[in-house]
Amino acid sequence: MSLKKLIPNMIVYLILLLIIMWLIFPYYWMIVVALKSAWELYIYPPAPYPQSPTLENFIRFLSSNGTIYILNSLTICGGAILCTLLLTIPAAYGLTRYVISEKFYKNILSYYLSLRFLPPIAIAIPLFGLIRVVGLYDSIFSLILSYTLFNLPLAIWLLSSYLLELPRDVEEASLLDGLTRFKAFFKILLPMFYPQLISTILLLFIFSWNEFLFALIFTATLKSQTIPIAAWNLVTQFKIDWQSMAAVGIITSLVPAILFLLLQKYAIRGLTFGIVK
Amino acid sequence: MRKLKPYYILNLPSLFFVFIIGTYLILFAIKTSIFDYKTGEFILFSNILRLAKDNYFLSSLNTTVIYVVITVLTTIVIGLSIAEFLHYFVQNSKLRSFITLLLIFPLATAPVAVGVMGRLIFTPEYGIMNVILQQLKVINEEIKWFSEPLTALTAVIFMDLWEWTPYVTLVAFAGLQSIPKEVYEAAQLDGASKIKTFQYIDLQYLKPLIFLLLIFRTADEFKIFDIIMVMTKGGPGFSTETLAVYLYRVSFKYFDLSYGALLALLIMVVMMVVSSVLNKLLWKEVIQPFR
Repeated sequence: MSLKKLIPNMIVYLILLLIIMWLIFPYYWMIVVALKSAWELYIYPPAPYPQSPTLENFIRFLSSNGTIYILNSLTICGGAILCTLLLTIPAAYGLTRYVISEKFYKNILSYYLSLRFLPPIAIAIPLFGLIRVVGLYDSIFSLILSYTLFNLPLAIWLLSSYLLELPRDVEEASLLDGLTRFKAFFKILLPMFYPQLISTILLLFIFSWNEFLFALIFTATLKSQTIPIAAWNLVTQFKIDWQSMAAVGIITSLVPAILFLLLQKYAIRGLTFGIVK
Repeated sequence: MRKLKPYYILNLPSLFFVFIIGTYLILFAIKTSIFDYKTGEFILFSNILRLAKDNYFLSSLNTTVIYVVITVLTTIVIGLSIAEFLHYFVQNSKLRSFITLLLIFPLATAPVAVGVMGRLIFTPEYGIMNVILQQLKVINEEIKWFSEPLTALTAVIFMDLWEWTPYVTLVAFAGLQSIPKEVYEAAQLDGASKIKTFQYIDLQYLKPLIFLLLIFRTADEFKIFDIIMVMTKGGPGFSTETLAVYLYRVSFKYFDLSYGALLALLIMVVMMVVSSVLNKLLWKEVIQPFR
């Protein structure tokens, strides 16, 4: 390679390396801290890698109450996803599989989109009142309710954007042949639709799993606290246990990170309310 | 009575769900800001008087605006630059998908975990940032990041940029890749310079996306809560306290739910007006062009 080409190439790789390092660095440091053994904490300056890597920080968290937080999180995510889908699949189907007025379509979607712009704290304050009134404070149902409310706009937007793209002719032909709408949905639409449906489910899962504000306000004990709250509890301790904090941080981020890799193709679409294809 | 159309019925459950809860929330917020949550005393006037003199509210609003402006502009500029860089200089498809993969990680990370990373990186006793900066000879003495307003804000913004810049990059990169090759070829034949190509092709194609990013990013940064709570809790003093953190402090730490409800109501009303404008703009500038 000639020198004239080599230098620009080297600059490109240098910039790439910087970008990669910047993206990895916070994760790297969290993993390093989590893998260090207790005695390494007192060395200053801290070493950039664990000298005797250990899993004790993870085990300590999981064997204390860690699994309870994880189970709570999973139950709440599952419940919220189920409720969201039960409400939004019919809605999205109605918006996209019938001949409807453009105005109706636009008004409904705009209505949900405005919820996207509301800061959750403004909702959380009165929602706290509602949850107190119906006696759901410190119960997993308080979070299932609030996550359903908050995921609903995204789910309707995403599902209808996906459904709009799926062809309607086979379905319509089968309707003419006398299949009911209900059967046509399961027999004809669902087999075409399930990859997008699963990607939507994954996204709803990630958002519910990561949610912090509602969980902080509506829960108080292990009965209903989720995994971000486990991390928070460690942060607020008087003497901070850095290594447990790092281990919980990793457990918190591991699940959504893996799921996101699965939905890669749909990631951008999901994060832009289905607008960017 | 005219028969209800089926698509209308199918939309009723979700509409009702949001509508009933929404109505309850607004009524509750109104009632609670008029009558004290605990004692039931009439409190509206003292609440309004308090709002008129509330310096914490003003300072948190001020912090939020500064925070939003810095983070939104920086994430968009850096994110867009990285996308352009990948678009023009990284042709290797394996390398591209590797970078895209890495870009996804910050987005998938729970904001709480991002805060945890921030604590681990910047904490004076154990953080790596001071060590790195000392090695690079940028600083001589270690910085107590969370003890000074400016450095605390810098640390929080650093983590915010880490989390959100990839979002801009991914969206912009997707937009750049959808530009037809012929457009570039035509520009090349016409002898257009790199800067002109960027100005007249890339920016034109990305315009609706940048608009979308501006709106979504602003809305998201306006809500900022998690990272700040974990990293600084609004401190030192109240210097990194944003609107959401302040509302949380009033309502759930001092448990002054009545005043909190008044503030929440205020935000809701403002956001209703803002989002109706944003909605119109979004349909016109972004959603229609993409359909």
